[in-house]
Amino acid sequence: MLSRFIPLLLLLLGLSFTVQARVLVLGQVSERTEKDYAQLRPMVEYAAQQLQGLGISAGEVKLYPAAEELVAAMRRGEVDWVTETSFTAARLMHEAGARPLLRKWKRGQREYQSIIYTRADSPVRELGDLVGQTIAFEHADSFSSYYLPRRMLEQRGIRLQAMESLQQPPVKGQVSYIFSRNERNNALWVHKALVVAGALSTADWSNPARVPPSLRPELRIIYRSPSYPRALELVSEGLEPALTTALQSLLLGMTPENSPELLARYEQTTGFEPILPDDMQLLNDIYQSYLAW
Amino acid sequence: MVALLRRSIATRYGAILMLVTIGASSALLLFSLYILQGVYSRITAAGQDVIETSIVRQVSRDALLLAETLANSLADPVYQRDFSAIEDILSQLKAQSEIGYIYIYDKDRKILHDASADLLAYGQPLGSRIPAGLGNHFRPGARALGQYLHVVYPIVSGTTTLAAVRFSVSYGAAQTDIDKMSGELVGTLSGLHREVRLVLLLGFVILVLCILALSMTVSRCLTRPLKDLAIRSRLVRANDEDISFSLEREDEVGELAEALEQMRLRVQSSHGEVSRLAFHDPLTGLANRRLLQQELEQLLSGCKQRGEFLAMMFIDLDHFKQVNDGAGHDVGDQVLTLVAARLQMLVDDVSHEGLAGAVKPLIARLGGDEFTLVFPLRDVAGADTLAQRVSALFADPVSLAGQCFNVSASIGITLYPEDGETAQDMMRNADIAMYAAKHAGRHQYSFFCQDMKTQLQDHLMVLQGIDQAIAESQLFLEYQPIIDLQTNQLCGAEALVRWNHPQHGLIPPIRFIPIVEDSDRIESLTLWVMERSCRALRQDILPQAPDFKLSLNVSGVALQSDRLRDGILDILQREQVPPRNLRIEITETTMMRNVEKCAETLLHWQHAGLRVLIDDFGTGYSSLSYLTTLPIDGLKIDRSFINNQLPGTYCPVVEAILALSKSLGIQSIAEGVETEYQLQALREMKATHAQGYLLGCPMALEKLLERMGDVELEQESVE
Repeated sequence: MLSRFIPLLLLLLGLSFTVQARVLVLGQVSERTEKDYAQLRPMVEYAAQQLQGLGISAGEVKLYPAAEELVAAMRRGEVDWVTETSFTAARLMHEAGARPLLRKWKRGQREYQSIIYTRADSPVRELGDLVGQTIAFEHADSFSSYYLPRRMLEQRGIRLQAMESLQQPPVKGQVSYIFSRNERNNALWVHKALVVAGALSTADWSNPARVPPSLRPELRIIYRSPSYPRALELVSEGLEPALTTALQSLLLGMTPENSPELLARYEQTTGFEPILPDDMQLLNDIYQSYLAW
Repeated sequence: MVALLRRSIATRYGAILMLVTIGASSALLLFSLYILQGVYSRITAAGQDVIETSIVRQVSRDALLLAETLANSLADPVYQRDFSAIEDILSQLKAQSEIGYIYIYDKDRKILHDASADLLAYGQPLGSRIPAGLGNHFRPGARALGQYLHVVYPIVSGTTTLAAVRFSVSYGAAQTDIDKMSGELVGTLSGLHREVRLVLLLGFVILVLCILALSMTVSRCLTRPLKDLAIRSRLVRANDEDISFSLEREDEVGELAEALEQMRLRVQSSHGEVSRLAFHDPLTGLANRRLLQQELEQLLSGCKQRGEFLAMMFIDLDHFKQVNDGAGHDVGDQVLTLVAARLQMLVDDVSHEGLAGAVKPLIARLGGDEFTLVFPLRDVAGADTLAQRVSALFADPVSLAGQCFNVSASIGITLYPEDGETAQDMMRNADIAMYAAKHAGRHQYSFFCQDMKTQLQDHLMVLQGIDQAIAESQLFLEYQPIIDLQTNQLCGAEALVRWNHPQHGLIPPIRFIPIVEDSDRIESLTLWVMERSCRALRQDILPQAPDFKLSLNVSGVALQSDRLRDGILDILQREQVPPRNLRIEITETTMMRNVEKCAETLLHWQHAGLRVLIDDFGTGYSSLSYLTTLPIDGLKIDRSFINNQLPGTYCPVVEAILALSKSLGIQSIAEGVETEYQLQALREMKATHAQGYLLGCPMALEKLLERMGDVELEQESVE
């Protein structure tokens, strides 16, 4: 009697798996969780609602203090969707198998560069002149103000030596570097000639809160890196193709005209565009540089 | 107010106490207010000073603390040249409006940070940016300069001075605080000042009011017994006999009250004695005239209310003077006392018999031998019985010390309400009735009637008017001729006085002569007649008829009076009239009252040459011996005898008198000849002289003089 019901029970079990509702998780590395949570939550809830037909019951934001933890979470399949800078995106792609979905125009910026600058009256006019001089990077975690400029210098065969303090004299034959802790100090140190050069992203450069406009005429940019996407949307390796496609088309369809509030809240995004062919190469380069340290 | 002060000790005492208190309190108040003002000013100044000092000190301390905190937090950023961190720290400070400048500079005093975003002052020397004179740059310090407090604090890492932070803090806020707190202090203090002042003033007012109330209470307490004594003395004055002055106090007022009480008792006892004396006769103990008058009013009003009657009797003892003169006043007084006792007994008896009304009868002694009995009666018929009983009271003689005194009484009775309704009327009427009883012959009673009053009025009119009549010539003389029957000549006349009263007209002599005779006015009337007669004789009559004899009537009373006797002679001498031309007629009855004295006077006159006739001879009771002993010059035969001479009758009296006078060798004059028959009869009886209406009515002097002329003519024609 019981044997007659077993196939039926298995069928019911299988059906229930197929239609079981799941939560769409959006992840990010964050040092300021409260602010970031508020920025991301409306978007993931909107997407979950839009993707209801594909078995999404709700949206959720998960924040992680470091890139390593996000990588691990993604590997465990806890995160479906990530919005991050190019540097973190490169690590996620290589270490957690994340797939780039779209370019995001974060804070109205489509892409950015790293720049190296000196005082306008400085005799240093190109990267090679920096040997035996000092340079200020922002922070050890900064992609645009540390990894990228350092990689550019190193690609030119210039060796770099960390300084313990500003009072320490530069090392001959190398470029002595020190972290300025923030963008403002970086600009001021160069301007007040505490260091010879500084490195910032173009986004920081044009931000008056970070580089006072009065200082800019007295500074000179001596190097610009290639452009990198400002930010990327990525999905986990295991996200269903239907969901991936649906999310991609959902985001692409959002413009400042049809979803102004939602996009403004989403890190002041002004639009999405598909991944360009060169993007993958750039992201690979970033990752290779990272691995080289 | 002044009057009040003068009148009331309490007010005066209270006012003085109040003035002294107000003066002292005012001085104290002013002094306190002055001291308070000084204390307030000093506290305010000191308070403001303390506030300013403490605020400045506090600001400096706060500033240094701030600078220290700032320096500590700046140590790492300065060391690391973390401009943004420095800016974050400094910009918070810079945001404060009190901060003037803020700089961080290195050991070379070059500016490391000026709190601006672009650090334009970086590397520049500090000196040009801060006020000169701030010498200390690396030791903690706060220095006030101008409107700012300049603070400096070193930024140290371990033992190494890295740099220093310097900033200036405006005193503006502190000054505002100082001003505000000073203002609050001044406000609080002045509020306190006002409160204290108000409390002082209130205290002053309350003190003054309390003292006022206290002084009024004290002075009232002091003077209340005095007022009480004043009220009591007024009550005593108003005859309240239950009032005592004793206050049961042991102080001075108590002494005064006790003294007053003693005085009151003395006065009361004297008053009792005085009023007893004032209202009672000391001899008999009966009521006196004053009490009678008082009681009578009440008795009358009592009778009026009850509709009762009242008899009032005036009792005058007859000839009591003789008792006094004969037995002495002591005996007289005893007689009066006995009479009073009899009266009292009678009244008691009569009252018991039920004759009296509801009110107790009253007996009074009016003085001398006059008693009054006021007797309320049930009915008016009782009055007669009462009168008889009272009259009978005096029938028995009063025996005293073996002597008997016949004391009769003349009693006048008047009745209420028949005769009069007022006390005054009753008294007067009873008096009138009493006099009537006396006139009627004494020892009898008479009830008042209105005729008595008329008589009395006449009597009074005469007595009151005679002096005026003499002075204002209301009197005049008429002359009735006397005829010598032998010669048929007018040989003389009788002067008769007449009174032409301005209101009552001509008053007949019979109405006034007897009244005047009974009074002392007779003297002046007699002298007046004498004077006029003499003048008429001297001026008018004697020049025509030197032998004319003028008769004038002189009352017998004149014979008792030396003054009148001499007065007549004085006039005779003054008027220079020959005495032989005057004849004085004196009535027989009056002459007989005091024969010795009469004889003396007549002799006196005879010596002076005057002739004396006995008037109305035959009607009195004169002894014939008098005609020989007394110096009489003639007789006037009374008119009643002459009137009896009627035809067919014979009157031997006239003839006898004529014979008597002839034998005595004195003159005779027949009066009242009114008919020819009478004249003829007289002629036949050889009468010598006659007068009467037939021979001539009394006439004025002019008429008499005319008549005298006629006679002469007649004589001439006869001859």
